Amino acid sequence: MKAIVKNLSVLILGTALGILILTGFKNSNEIIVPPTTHTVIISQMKFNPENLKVKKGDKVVWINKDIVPHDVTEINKKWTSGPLKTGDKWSKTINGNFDYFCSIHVVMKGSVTIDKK
Amino acid sequence: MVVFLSSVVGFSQAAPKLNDAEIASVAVTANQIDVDYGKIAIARSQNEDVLEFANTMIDDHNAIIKMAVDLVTKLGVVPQDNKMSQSLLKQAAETTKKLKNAHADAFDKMYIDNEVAYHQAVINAVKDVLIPQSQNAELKELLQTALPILETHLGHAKMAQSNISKK
Repeated sequence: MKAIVKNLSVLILGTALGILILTGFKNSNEIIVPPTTHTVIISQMKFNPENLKVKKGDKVVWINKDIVPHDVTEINKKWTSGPLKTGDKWSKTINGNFDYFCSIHVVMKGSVTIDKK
Repeated sequence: MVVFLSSVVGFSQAAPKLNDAEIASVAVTANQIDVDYGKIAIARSQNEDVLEFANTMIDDHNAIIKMAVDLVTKLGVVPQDNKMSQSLLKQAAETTKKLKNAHADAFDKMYIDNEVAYHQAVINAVKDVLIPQSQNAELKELLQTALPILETHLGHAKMAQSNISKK
């Protein structure tokens, strides 16, 4: 009888450990979504879309389709893409919310917000 | 100030009828005038807002001129002198003289006030005269491409004007 109980305990513990290893010790209800790449077209002196919602870890690519140079600069000038000529692209992986503007044409503004839904 | 602003605009006369070669001339002339105002500002101003704005004006208006020159070259059109281009140049000569002779303390405000008035006047002329009268589809498209650039410049100029008036 003792041997049966011991074998059963080992089986239960082994099964539980196997499930934990297979699920990566994570809640089985959590769905891991791969990062998405979003595109902001700079055209007619506007960021399109101006206000973008993304998931944390997503990538945003800005493409300049205007005839004049633009840049993507954090609103307090913490970072900048540098000048983007016609056809140039610049990308950033998003880890937090920020407002930005074009430091060449200071009335052009946009924002990226992490959607927590 | 009212006299100064009205004298810098140059688009105040009743709109003449223009052909495409004349419209190309007006477009290049109007852009070159603002490039030249920008160069005066670079030479005379110490104000960061004014210098940033002036550099943007030089780069952007040169980009529009390049686009216009590329188009007329492609179309085989020679820009044709006309009353509107002449009026612009005459008014620009007067404004240039005022900007060059302005006292150092008064220069920044005079330059930016002129930029606000000039861009507003050019926007009106592009919307009400040049786009409606242009016959060639590519010339019309070029003017439509230039319009949001001019409108952004106007917003930028107003922002710089507000910053200067606070100082």
